[in-house]
Amino acid sequence: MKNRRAIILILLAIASGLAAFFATRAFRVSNPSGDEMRWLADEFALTPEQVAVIRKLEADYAPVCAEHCRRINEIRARLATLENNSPDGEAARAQWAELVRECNAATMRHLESVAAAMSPGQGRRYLALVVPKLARHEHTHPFGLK
Amino acid sequence: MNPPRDPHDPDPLSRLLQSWRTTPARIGDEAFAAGVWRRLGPRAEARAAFAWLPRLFASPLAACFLVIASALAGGSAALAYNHATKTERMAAAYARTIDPLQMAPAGTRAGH
Repeated sequence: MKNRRAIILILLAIASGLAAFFATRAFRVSNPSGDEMRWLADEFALTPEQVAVIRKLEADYAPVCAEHCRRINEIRARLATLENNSPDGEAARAQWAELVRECNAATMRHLESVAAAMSPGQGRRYLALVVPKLARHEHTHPFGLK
Repeated sequence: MNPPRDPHDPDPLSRLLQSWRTTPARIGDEAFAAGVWRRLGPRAEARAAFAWLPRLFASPLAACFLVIASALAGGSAALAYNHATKTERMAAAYARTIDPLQMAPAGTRAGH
């Protein structure tokens, strides 16, 4: 009788733990899009001065990023009209590979500048978290290649 | 089957049999018997060590505490899981705002 009561109690405890787990997960609050800077400030405990520095870095990086976007779209459009094995196609693919390297290098420099604006520990954590999320398309086919 | 004998039975043989006590002779190896009791010893001690557990479960207050503690542990685990997944999600969204290779085609993102 005592053993049965103990088993029932243990099962009840497990059930309550699981119910609390799934109920809490269901009430996850989603962040609105465009809120990345606020997330950055909260996640990496940025001071107002650090936030101001990072906003300036983002503003300086925006034109570089826009230019890269433009060149990516340009090469995509060109590759969409070229044959895979043609000389122009090969040249375009080489340009694409070079552009990917350039984009990655510029993005990494920006990330490192942002990390340098944070405290050392947070900066390392920032790089460890964000760098793996970058697209590295050096070995994949560019979009639109026939 | 015979009914049990009354200790105040006047029959002398019956009284003698009621009072007779004896210790049976030990059969087998002394070392074997000692080994058996040695092996039984830790298990008996372990059972004694956890004898309080069934008594604990019998207490309504302890039972309530266990259920509440389990619910709190489940909730805490979910909060930690939510935070970890949110961090990954937000980091991926942030990377999409700075990585031109992940950005949408030109003209669909504000600022570019």
